Amino acid sequence: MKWVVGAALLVGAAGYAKSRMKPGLDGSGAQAAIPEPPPPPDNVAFNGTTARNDARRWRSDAQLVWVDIQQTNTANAAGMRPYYVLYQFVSPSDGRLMSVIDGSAGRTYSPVNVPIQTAIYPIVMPFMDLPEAIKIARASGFSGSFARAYLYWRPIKGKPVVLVWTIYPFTQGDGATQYNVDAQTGVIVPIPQLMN
Amino acid sequence: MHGLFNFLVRASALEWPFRARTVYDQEDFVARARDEWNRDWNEAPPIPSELQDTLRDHFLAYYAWADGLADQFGSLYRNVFSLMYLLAPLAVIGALLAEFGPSITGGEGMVWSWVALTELAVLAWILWRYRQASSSRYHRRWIDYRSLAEQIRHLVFLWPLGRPTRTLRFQGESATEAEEFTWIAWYCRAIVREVSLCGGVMTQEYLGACRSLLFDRVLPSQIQYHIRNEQRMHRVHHNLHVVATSLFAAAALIAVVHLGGLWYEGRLSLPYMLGQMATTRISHVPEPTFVTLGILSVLFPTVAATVHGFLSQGDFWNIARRSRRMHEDLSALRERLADHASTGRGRNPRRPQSG
Repeated sequence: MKWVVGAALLVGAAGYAKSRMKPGLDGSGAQAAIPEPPPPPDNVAFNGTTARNDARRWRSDAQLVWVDIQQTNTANAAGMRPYYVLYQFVSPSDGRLMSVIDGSAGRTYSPVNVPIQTAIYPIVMPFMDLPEAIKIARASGFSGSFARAYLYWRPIKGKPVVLVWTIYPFTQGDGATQYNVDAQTGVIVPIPQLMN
Repeated sequence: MHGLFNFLVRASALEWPFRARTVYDQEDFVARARDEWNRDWNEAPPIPSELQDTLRDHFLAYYAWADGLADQFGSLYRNVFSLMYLLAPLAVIGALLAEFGPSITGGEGMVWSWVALTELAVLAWILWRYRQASSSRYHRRWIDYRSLAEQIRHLVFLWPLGRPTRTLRFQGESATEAEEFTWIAWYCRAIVREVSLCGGVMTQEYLGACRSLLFDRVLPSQIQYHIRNEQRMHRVHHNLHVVATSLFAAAALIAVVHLGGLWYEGRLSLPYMLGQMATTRISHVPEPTFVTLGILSVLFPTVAATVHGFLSQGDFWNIARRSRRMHEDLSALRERLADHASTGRGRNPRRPQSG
């Protein structure tokens, strides 16, 4: 009897030890798979329209001035959104800000009590969606996974302002190259022509 | 209430006069930020007046606004938590006096009823101020405006070089807060869009002026600020730590005296503690002395805990540590700039020491 109990314990202990082994250390030579980066969010333009409708319940003259998309810490967590998409609105009548954020917490609204002292350049709707802008950037050398993008009117050499998607690939260090796509014509804008 | 935190910090650091110049409203804070800019930028050595005037025309108003508001909300937030830590022991004192006061004065007295009401009023005041600070989001607005002011400070030396804005990447825990800071990123870019492209030709002379701007103006003031801040915060932390520890020690001393009294009366003997015999002697400590010692034995640890709370909330130790690292990093950066100027090229960059 004691041999049966001993064998059962041994099998159980071996099974437990195997289950605690790290992937790739079990002698099979298999390496832990690096999770695929999530695809960039689509429907940014469409959702921008619904965000604007929401913002206009806050201020009837709310204007979209900035779209910011960034990969989040929860990119690989089950059930969590891999990106937040932030639409920023300004009310020209009183210069206040409202952020509409599509993120892990769903859609949230964050009015910011800041009097804006600069000129306001509203983003024209509908605008070119992010996947299309990334496709154009890839044709110009953008490689790797997408990390961050924002859309706003940027000053440009020879013109007052241009609505530009600025897209950053994911890198480990600083100094990532940015790719700038004119969101109205789809033309790549060289960095030296951009002011900020 | 105005300037309370500054008063406590100066007093803790033993910097006389304890009471600094107090500012009250947004206009005062913005005016003070503007004055500080003008004072810093009028100091020798001068940079080309054309560049200096351009920077002032473009950025002073935005910087003074953001810096002034950051100071205002930082001051509001810190004053509220200072007031709470200051009043909490008063509430405890009120509760103790209301309970034991008649024993000290030997009889009834309506004054102790007023003390009990005052204690309630103090607690209500604390709760009201806390709620006001939370609903007005003093802390959030302080951090937002401070982040904006510091980005504008960077614009002052990046804009003349044609590289005004950088994309900040939030890492680790701060990445979860990235979306809260995005309005600052947009606003900073809107300011640059407003001031337009920096015009001019990048001659050696122009680049020398840009270098001087960073080397002679921006870096020294920041290095000096962080050296002063490290020393002051270190003193505050050390002195308050000594006060809190001394108060705990004083409370321990009272406990020893109390135990001595119990020993004298035989109440520490095992038979007495097991309930097998009565006390043999009675010490003739006057009742008021006995009650006063009792109050102090409660009060000292309470005040010590309050001082510790103020220390933790003020984060003085970490601020001192961060300021040390900042002035070490900035000094290393300035040395590299000096090397650049003397050799015409950069030597191997030295890694700044970590703090």
